Amino acid sequence: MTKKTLISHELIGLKAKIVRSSHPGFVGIEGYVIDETKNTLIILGEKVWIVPKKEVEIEFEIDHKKILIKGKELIGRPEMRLKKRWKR
Amino acid sequence: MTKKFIIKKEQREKKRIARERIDILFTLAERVFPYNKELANRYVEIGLAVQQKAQVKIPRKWKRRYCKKCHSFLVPGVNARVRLRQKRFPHVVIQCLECNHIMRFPYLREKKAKRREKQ
Repeated sequence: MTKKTLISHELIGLKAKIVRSSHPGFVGIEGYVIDETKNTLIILGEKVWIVPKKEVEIEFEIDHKKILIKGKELIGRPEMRLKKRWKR
Repeated sequence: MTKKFIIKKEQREKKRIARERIDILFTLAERVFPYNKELANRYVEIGLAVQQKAQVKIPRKWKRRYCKKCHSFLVPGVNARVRLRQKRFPHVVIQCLECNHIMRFPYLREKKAKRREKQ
């Protein structure tokens, strides 16, 4: 899984940390992604957070490597993300 | 000519990713099942949606681990019953204990191969 394929890859089960956000309350949230909808990520840490993809920048940890990505690129239902990117 | 080649390559890549995603989702469903059944069923649902979109086959390992009617994750002994039956044709019967749906998987081909080996 590299930065290029992450966009169309599975986010559920990855460790995520929110680095930047337009709303300061979201910054610093850390935990595992347990579910995903079109516009939000559901993260389980100390408690369950629902985070909008549009407003945040997320750092994913994939086998000890860290990948920073803008949440705006992840918008779309999990199965639709597969198809969408390849057309461009 | 080259464009066609590139499209084909991209499609192959897409299918590879889809296969990986299905594998990841089902393994997670298995791990999460003892704590939260609903979440496991949700993962199966996403996995099937990915499979439909990318038009790949579900790996053989996971083929019998979900109900084809209610799409819930099955664990033999907990919410699924697995039996071998010989009548008409040899097959495995898997019954989903959530919705009582019955699935049959024949293993005639394997049996024939075994018979051929013996001779």
